[in-house]
Amino acid sequence: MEPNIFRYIWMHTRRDQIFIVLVVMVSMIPFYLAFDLPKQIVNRPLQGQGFEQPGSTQPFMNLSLQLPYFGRIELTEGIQLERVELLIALSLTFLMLVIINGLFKFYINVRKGRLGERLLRRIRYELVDRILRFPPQRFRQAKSGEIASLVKDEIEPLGGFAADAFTQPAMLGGQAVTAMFFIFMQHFWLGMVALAMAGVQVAIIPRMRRRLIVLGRQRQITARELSGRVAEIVDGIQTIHSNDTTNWERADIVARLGRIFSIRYDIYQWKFLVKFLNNFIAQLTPFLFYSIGGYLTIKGTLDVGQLIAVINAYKELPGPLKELIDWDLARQDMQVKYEQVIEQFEAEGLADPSRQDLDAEIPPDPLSPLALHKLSLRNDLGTMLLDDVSLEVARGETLAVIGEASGGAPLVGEVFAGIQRPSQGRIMLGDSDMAQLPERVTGRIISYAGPAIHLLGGTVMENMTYALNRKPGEPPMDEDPVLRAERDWRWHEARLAGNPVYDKDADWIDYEAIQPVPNGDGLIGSIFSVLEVVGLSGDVVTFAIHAQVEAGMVPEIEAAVLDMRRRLRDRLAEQNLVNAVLPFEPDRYNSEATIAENLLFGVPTDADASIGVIVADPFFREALIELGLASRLFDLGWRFARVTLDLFGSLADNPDLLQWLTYMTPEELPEYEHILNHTEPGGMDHTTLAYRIRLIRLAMSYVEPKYRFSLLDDDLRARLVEGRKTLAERMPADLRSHLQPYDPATYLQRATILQNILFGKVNRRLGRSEERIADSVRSVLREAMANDTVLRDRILSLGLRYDIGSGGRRLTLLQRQRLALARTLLRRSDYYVFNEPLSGVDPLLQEQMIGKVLGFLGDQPDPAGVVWVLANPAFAHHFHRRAEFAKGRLVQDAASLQLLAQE
Amino acid sequence: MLLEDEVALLRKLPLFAGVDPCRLKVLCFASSRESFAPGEVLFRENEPNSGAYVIFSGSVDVHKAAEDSHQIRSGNENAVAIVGQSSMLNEGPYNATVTAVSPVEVLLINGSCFMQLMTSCRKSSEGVIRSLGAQLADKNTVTTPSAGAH
Repeated sequence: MEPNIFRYIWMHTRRDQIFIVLVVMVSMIPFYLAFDLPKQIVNRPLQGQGFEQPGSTQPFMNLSLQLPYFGRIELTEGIQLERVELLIALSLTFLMLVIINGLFKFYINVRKGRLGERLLRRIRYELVDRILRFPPQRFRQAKSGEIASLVKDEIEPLGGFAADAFTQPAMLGGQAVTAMFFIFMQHFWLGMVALAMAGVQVAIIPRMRRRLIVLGRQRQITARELSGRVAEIVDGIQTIHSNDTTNWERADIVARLGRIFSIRYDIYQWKFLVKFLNNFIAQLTPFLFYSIGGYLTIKGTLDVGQLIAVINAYKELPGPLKELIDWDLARQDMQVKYEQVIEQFEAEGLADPSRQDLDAEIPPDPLSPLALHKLSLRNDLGTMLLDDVSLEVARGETLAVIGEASGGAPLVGEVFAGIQRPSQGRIMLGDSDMAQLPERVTGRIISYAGPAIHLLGGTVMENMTYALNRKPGEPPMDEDPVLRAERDWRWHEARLAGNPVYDKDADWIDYEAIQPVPNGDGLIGSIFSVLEVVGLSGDVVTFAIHAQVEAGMVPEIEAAVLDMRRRLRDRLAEQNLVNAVLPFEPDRYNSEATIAENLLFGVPTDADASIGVIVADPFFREALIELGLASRLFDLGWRFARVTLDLFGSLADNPDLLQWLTYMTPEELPEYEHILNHTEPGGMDHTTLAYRIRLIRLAMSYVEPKYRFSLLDDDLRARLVEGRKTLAERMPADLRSHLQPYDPATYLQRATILQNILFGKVNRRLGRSEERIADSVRSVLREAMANDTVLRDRILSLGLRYDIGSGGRRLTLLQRQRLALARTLLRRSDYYVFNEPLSGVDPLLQEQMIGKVLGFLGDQPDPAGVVWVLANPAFAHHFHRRAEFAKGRLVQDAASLQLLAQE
Repeated sequence: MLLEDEVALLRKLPLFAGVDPCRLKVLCFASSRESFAPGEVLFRENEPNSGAYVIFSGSVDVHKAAEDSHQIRSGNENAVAIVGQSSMLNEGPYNATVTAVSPVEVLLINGSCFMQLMTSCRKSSEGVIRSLGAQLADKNTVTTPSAGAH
């Protein structure tokens, strides 16, 4: 990259810069005129120059220029005005000039801002583009947090500076020179005073600021390191917790923050010292003006108007001067920053852009075999990791690479996939050297799954199709002219900032690369096959049934889900498990549900708010009193609180055990203690409303089989069911919208699919009921999905929408491994390189999965070649050939033992 | 059955006899009451453990595959039995398969709550250690030697 920041800025923003400078120069004219006006106003209408006789007039808009060498040039003659008229006319002119000056500033600033933002966009893109082209070894020393901070924060001031790089000195210099020129025009010696003081300012201040730059650089480096450390903490949080090193991390952060603080404090002190001096010098000059200028005025060599104009003009001088000095500092600072940033992005062996070209030509014929040719690999210290290895795999062939991890086997996987660049020798695809082939070709021909799993934050679907995102399809043809105009503007801007015009909203999926080839059911059918192979389909279905379906999609699955609801009941009956789910029945108390659930008997439309809205409504309170439930529930709540306090009251200092208290927070315990001291069972009518509400609300969360305090009897149950009916009949319409009543024949909009299928509460009294029900639900689902591919696809697409969290943290390790494998299999390629993608998986399961994956790939038309680095040589018999490595050398390359035996 | 009654029954077990009654109640509260029909499996050998089962009523068959041994354990109002105790104590998988032979009422002891109780209350943990020591002395009742070490 261009090492000189000015040249970089000039190269990319030349045209805009010149234009802005021209505008700045034009803007100097009204700027100068605005200086001259106050003098005219004071001297002419105010002091009455030329109005000595009543009725005399003066020319207005009599524009003339007094230029050295040219003399006076008369531009217009102007019109004759009286004294007051002239005052008004001159004042209005002043106002107009103020407006014109302001508009100029506005226009210039906007233009400059746009220029800066475009340049920032350009350089950020260039930096990320370089990251994408870095050679693999560059990443060994790179901390992701630091690089991210370079791109995001450190380069940011460049945008602001680029805007000012040329225009600022032009504008400020122009202003300063104009002001100075004006002062000289008024009085030569006052001009000399101003010039001398400005000279002092320009000479001293930058010297003092130099130390600020040094400190600023230190601040930048320490802040970048801090950001790298924070990223490390976040990435390694599990290691930190398991090693109990949180306090060590704290100490490290404290030390860093301390250093940053001392640097920043130093900066702060210097900055304000410099500011003080700067202000002082600036204020010293008016002192000289007042004293010297005032003396001259009294002596009569200077008129008052001139003196005011000089002082006015001088007011405009320190500003531009100070900003010029600032600009110079910013320049030095930016140059340093810029150098530091681009230094980080200079790397040897940066990939040629053409290797990643979107339109690289793809060879029509399959390239076979994939071969390592006399290949050696050394590490940074020169140790031989792979020594003179020649190994090949043809299409349709499966090769197991075995040997101890230290013997080089995993490296063979990485070399085959092109992740490691050989120190000597070549990787060949047919007759072509892989290093010469564009990534677009190698990426298409070779698929890789390694032990380090990189999943993107996002949905399962986004991760599944990630490997298919290869080229943007046609952008969606928006009929809406507004949208189209907006998109055109976006592309126009992208081009101006040197960004490639790739449309993220276009469909990037390469449908021809999908494996297995979709037969009519589209992408989702292929995804399902692949998920089955890696054993992830069950998990995806589980994600789906724990999700709530959007209202718009409900009609599509409603019938099927209601059907499954019936089937589940039948299934449970067949297995003598009919009591495992206690269904919501209008005439029965559901013993596993809370009292509130039994009373309201429906799904709240807003899980967080609806119940609160209903319970807080006066209707609810009055109904409870009328039904005689209020006092019963008050008593129940009282006893509930009493037993709870007896149980947990003495455990206040024991947070571990307090976690089992779920219906109250530990802080509430003393509050209830207080309430109980002021109330008694049966005494609801004598207590305050607040206490009543607290206890009745507590009672609402009671579940007998769960807490087993024996607070519910049959009579109260019957009354609650009665109450449920009465509430349902009388509930006002506005409250009704907060609740969807349980009805066996309707779909519960605000419940998950699983809750809809169950339509009841799991009976915890039956041993292992959840597990057994889960089995039944799964089998019902499996049958339904097998018979109805439309349902299958809908359920799957719901499950594929599951958000796996940053880096897939919401998945288990096994799920992540399976997902990474599935993603690889969904894309057709000529060779698959698996580098211990299932490390840590139970051997039995691992062998089963290897078998399935090989079977799947073997069943595809024109099967691919497979290289699989195995940690466990026992699985090698699944492969056609095996290559054994020891100490970086290929010690055996033979047909698999099983095959040998067969022959 | 009430929480109170369950606590009273638990106290009959040597393991819980020495536990502070107040805390035992919390343990009971955090544990769950379950029932099994004849033929249903409480837990299988090598399954990750979810806690010990205290049998309040009914009989279960305890089967160990390695020794091919069967043992019947029963509980009633006067004497309750416990299965899966050693697995809960060493936090390992279950070491036997337990099947109900008659309708069984159990309390599934919440293993993590039990451990918290042990670490938070010295009096209780001393009681448990003493009971385990006594079981060690009487080798016939000790199923896993390592259980005593915990």
